[in-house]
Amino acid sequence: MRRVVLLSWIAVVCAVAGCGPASKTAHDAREASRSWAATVTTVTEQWAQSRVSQRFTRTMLDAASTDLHRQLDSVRTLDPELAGSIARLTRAIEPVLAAVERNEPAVAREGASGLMRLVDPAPSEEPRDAAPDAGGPRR
Amino acid sequence: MILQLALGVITAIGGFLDAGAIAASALAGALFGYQLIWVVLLGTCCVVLLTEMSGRLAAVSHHTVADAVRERLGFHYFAFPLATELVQDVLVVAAEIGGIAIALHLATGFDYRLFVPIIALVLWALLWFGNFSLIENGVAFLGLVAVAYVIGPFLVDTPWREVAMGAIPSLPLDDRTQYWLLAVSIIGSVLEPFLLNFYASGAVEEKWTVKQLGMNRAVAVLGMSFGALISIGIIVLAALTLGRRGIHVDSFEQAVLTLVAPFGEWGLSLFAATLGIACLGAASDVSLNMAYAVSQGFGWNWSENLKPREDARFASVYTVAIALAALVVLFVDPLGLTMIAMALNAVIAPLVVFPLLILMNDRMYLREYTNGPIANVLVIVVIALACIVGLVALPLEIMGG
Repeated sequence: MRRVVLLSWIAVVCAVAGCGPASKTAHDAREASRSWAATVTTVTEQWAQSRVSQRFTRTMLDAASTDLHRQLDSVRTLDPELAGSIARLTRAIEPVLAAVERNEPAVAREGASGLMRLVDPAPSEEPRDAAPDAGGPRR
Repeated sequence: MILQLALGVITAIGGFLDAGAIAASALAGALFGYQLIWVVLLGTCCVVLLTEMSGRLAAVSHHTVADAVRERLGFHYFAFPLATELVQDVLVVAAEIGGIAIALHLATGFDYRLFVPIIALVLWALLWFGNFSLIENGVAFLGLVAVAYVIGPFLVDTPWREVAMGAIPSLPLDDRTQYWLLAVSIIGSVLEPFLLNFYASGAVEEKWTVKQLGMNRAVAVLGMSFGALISIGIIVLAALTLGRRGIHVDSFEQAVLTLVAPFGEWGLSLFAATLGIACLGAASDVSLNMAYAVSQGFGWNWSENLKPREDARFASVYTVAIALAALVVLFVDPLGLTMIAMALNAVIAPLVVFPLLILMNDRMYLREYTNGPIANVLVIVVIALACIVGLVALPLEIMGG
């Protein structure tokens, strides 16, 4: 535990001195974009199955767009490649949102189905199961 | 007697569950599956111990924790924990108002900031015009909707053996900083410093005597345990519905999916109701506690059962606190604010718990009901744990973001 305390205080000093937040910002942005891609895929699927309302689906997609724009701003100069990936994801969500607004669940589901590939082509990071009650701990 | 016990248990559940507990548990389940269940259990044991003691102090001595600390240790000692707790409580009220606003945003689709002034006004009116019984029992009773999180895991394919294994401490393979940050946040969301003085103040408001000591013990154990069950339910459902898909809880909206899996189209309504009512209960409790702590500290008139003109300074404290909290939440993201408030809870917990140990061994207050050696050892363990958690909380918050 002393090690945790020591490391924690070193991190405080580093943070105060401005050391190394850049890689953390990029890491957080990457994680957030994966999470939002998975969220949009899941909620659109749930909407197509009539398990959530159209309004909630739109609210969730709006939240995804807003946060992804924030993430994009945070990494634009820091990591252009990641910024490009987030920008592609943000653009790909727009037609999904438009389909939700037009009340076209099948189109929205199809549009959302490729989102995970935009942020992470590795199959291990894709959702393992689209069934509503599937799951378990990730780690 | 049974009705009083039931109301006490419901109230204790209300005290346990708030925006912090919901956010920290959902994040924990989404990121680490069932691995942090042991932290909820550990925090619950601590909070059961401490609430039982604060209730016992009130029932035997008719003093609240703040009142007794000021009297026994002097105003100079009392002033520092009071000041830190007030700052902390304003942040917690802001987080709870944010939680209610998000619940209304989920229900209506409007921007959550639009609801903040209305919520602040309703919260203030509830405290201004209501009495202790209405606030405690009325709001807490509505909070029973949170039982959805206990029922939910039985409606989906929950791997109970893996859930049970979560009661045994284990470390993740990666993201250990995040793991410990969440552990600290869970402890902070369970071991909320305001709860001790609020619980004791409630006992004094309801004129508890030594006859209520058995009920105090039952309420502390049963109420907090039910609260813990709800937190574990959130962790389980978040692991099942969010974790496997790689969904983190970057906003409260994502946490809605935890109840969509077991309850389908009712999931959103149940989540919004759970979040809104739990946060309303917590916001009223914490706002009242600020008024209790300041009034008891300065020796002013205090009671939620008095009319505001009879204890004007008491009413002024919660009025100012609610206004400040509403201002904060207009400018800060509610989820981020909630996580910071929970980490700060952990930081100030030792300041509040340590004096309780002194009081619980003072025969002037507790007469023959002072702590035994086992209880003292347990409180020392809790203080040591609180100190460790308090020391690492802020550094972890900075490292874990």
